Amino acid sequence: MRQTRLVWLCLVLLASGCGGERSMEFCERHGAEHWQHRAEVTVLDMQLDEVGVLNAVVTIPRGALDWMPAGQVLASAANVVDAGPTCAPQAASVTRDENALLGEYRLQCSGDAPPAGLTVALFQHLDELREVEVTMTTPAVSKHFLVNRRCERALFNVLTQREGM
Amino acid sequence: MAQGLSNSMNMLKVFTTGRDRPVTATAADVDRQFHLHRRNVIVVITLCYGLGYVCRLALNVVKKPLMDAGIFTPEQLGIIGSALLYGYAVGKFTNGFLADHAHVGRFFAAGLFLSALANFGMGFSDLLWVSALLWGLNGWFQGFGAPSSVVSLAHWYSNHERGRYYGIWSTAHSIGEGLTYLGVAFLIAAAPKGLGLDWHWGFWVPAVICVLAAALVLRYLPDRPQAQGLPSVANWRGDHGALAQAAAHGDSVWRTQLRILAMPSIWILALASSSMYVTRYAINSWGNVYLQEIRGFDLFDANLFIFLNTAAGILGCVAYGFVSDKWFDARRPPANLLFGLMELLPLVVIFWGPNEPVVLAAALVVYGFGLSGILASLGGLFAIDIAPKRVAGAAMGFIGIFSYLGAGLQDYISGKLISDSELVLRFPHGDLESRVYFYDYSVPILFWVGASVFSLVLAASLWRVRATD
Repeated sequence: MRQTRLVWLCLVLLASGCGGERSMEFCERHGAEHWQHRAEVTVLDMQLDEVGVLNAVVTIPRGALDWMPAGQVLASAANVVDAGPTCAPQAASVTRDENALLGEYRLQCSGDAPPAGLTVALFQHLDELREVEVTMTTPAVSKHFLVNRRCERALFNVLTQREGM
Repeated sequence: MAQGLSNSMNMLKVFTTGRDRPVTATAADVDRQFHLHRRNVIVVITLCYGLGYVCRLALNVVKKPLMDAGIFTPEQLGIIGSALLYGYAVGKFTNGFLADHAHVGRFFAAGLFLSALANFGMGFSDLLWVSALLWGLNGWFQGFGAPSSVVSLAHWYSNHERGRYYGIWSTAHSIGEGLTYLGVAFLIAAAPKGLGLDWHWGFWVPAVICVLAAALVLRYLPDRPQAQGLPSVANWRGDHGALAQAAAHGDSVWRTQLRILAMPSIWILALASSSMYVTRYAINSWGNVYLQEIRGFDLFDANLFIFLNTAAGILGCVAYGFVSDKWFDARRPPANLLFGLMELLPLVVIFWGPNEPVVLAAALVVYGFGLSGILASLGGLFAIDIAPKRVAGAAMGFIGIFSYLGAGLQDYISGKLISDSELVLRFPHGDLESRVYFYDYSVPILFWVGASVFSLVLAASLWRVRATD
């Protein structure tokens, strides 16, 4: 009897998406806890200026990912940021030092009609990548957020250092 | 069929005002009844019109969560928001005419109850057409409140005191807006600042509040003095204006209502009010989204800023009534200029000033103070000064339809302009795609501030217009 109840309980938990709730709980909490592992997280910094120049910098810290395949992915600007036909890649470079692997990109978009969408394809090309900390600045606004594989939505109000420091 | 029609007509008769009854009470009894009813009128219309606002503005607070969740785009939200304002414009116009013939207590209560039902439905809808339809109907139901309140004010308060009481009633706008921007934001904002409830609750809780408000109005808001066997308030107070009323010459109410349309000052006032409503509803509808998107505040703080503007509006309304009655001998134009400048100048700080919370808060407080003051005038008080008093509801309705057409157009245009500037940053991962939206508010901001400038110029052009009886 007890075993039957246990089976039913497991089925109900599975049906109610218990795993999803755990993930949701993580997503609600993670922004406040991000500072604890920030040094190991890949960072993407993008700036779109008023004349349509888009600069993007990806920083992958040492030990965060396997640098060999990561370097190959970063070599192509389209693997990092793709704006379709409205923006043309102008420069891409990958450098590395003892602390980080660095990808730097410059795209020229139309100043009259800025891009309506940009796709960051890093997660599709880097299976190991769990999370990216993003800062995006446009002529109107700057936003800072996290994108984590476990969370459907980007996480805002990210704590970058312990409170009170 | 005929029987059904007859039953329907009998049901509608419940909403009509009673016939004039002869004054048979003693002077002392008349005094006692006037004091009792006047107290009930001002408390009930202020409190319940304010509570009704919660059912009107709930969408504004949940806009950002709806955008972030990808349920509606800014343009779609603009369509839904403008549906309410168009519905409200129609409601204010038709209901303004109806309110002159209605038992305002029953009429107002019905509007609140129906608005509650619309909010309840909104909490279930994520379809554009359903939401736009429900919100449009809600606008019409919301339009029952203001004419009922203004008709009550016109019937229970005389010329030389109406400015002050109108000012008190106008605080309802701010009380309601404040309740919404703090209360509903508290429900929706993430912990620890709020309860972190889903956006649906942003509609359901206001629905419950409006049902309670409807019960209060039904119980405590009386019919006209003459329908209760009391003299008119002008006779009771001995407070008659300089010009004779058309109604006193035997013109019908309908004919007097139509005469409003031939008054150029009413048309100018309608345009001025309409332009000011563009700014008002721009801040109300998009202000908290702007503060979250561009200034980087969270949902609770952004709504707290909007709350500050509405809280200051409470003082602005009362101060406007007092200043125009006492300092300018019931002349509205000088007070309009004063309060209009107090509304306009802080907008520069809000949109182009530093991102300092204290500076922003101070600017929103002054803006709210000035806006509520000038709206109390342009949105009604100045109109009922100019128009014959027996048709105060119609004058208010006429100004109202213009005001809310402007506000409705604003909501759609703002949503469209914001949507046009959209940049989506996509992060595909597995089966999911995280999206972050970026908007540019620089064009909408020019539209919002320009509307205030235009309104102020129009209002100033009525400098020489004075009140009638």
